[in-house]
Parts: sequence; C-alpha cells; structure tokens
Amino acid sequence: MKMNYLRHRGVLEWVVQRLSAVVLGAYTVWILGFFITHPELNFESWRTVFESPLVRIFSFVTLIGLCAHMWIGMWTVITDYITPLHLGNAAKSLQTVCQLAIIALIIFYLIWGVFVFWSI
Amino acid sequence: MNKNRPINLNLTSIRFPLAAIASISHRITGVILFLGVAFLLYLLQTSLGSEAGFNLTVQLSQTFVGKLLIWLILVSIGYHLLAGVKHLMLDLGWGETKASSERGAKALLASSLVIAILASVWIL
Repeated sequence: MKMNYLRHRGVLEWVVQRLSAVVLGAYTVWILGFFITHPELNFESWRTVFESPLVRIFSFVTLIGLCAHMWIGMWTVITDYITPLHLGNAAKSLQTVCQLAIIALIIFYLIWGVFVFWSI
Repeated sequence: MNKNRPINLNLTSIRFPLAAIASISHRITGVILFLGVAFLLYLLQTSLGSEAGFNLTVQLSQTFVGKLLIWLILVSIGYHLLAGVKHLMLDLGWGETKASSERGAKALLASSLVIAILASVWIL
C-alpha cells in the first residue's frame, strides 16, 4: 500500500524534533565553548559576536528550531498527562487551555527573539 | 480492540525503574527549559542592549537568585542534551534490551551528576 509518510500522523513531528534537537545541541555547544574560552568577556566583544552575519543566521535558525522543539515536546507532555484518565471530563477543555497558553508563549518568545537579534 | 482493558496511568502507583526516572527527568528538564527561555532571552537582550545592561547582567549573575537560576538552566540543558543523545541512540536501536537500557540510564544519571558538579564549580 502506498502512503504519504510525511502526512502520516506523527512522522513529521518525529523528524522535526530530531533535526531541531541537533541544531539546538550545536548552538549550545558553541555558546558554552565561547563562554569557557572567554572568561573575561566585555560588552564590546560580546556585541561583536552577535554582529557577525553567521552568528545571526545561526541564532535565527536555532530560534525557529527551538520554537518547533518546544511545541512538539510540550504537546507530548500535555497530551500524556492531561487526559480523562487523570482528570475526568475537565481534561479536554483543560488541554485546550494549556495548548493555547503554550502556543501564546512560543509566539511571544519568537517575536521577542527576532526583536533581540533585529535590534543589534 | 477491547476498550475495557485495564489501564493504569496513575503516576503515584507506578514503580519507576532507572530508565523511567531517566525518561521522566528528560521531560521535567524540558518543561523547566521551556520556561527558562524567558530568563535567557531577558539576559541576552539586556546584555546586548547597552554597556549598562551588560554590567547589570553580570551583577545579576552574581546574586544568589541569579546563580540559582543559571545553575538550574545549565544542569537542565546538560541533562536534556545528554538524554536527547541517548534518545537518538535508541532510535538507532542501541541500548534497547533490558540490561543495556539500565546501563544507559545509569550512564546518563552519572554523567548528569558530573555536569551538576561542574556547573556548580563554574558558577561559584
């Protein structure tokens, strides 16, 4: 049977969660390495780092990956623990409220992050 | 499928072997980091904004609350990253037997302890 695997529920999320994890891991290792190799950091050199186009692109890609990663991860947690088995009839509406709050915070982070990198 | 099969998702009555502790900690650190992003974005924005802002974040990182938050985020990142690597190894089919999953969880928890100690030394 022929199937469109990317539209098959969960496969796209599975792939995105792993790809974004690799980007987030790379960014983490880079920035921690930078802090460790620059113990006497000052404002000028700190700002110069984020003026570099390469760092800005890396930061922007990481921000997008972070948003996707947070959504998939938080969705997984919410749908596992806020269920009728745990919370009865209130589960469905509570789950909707939580998902909306998570989406709102992620959009807030995204706009905030773009603004931070934009204003350098 | 029989819909009346017994289901137990009561977290307080489930026994937690090491692999389960490792797994739920991956989730807990994920939720901590989801909220911690706000603090990190604040630090980034303030430190990049102006010289005074940079000095403010340096001062903040020397207070008790600042150190505690940074430590919590560092340890969560370290744990979450290592647990993620372990997860990718499981995707490749490594460490799926009962014995090797126990070993994997032990290795993860032990290396996180090392990370926690290193993070403490770095911050203090």
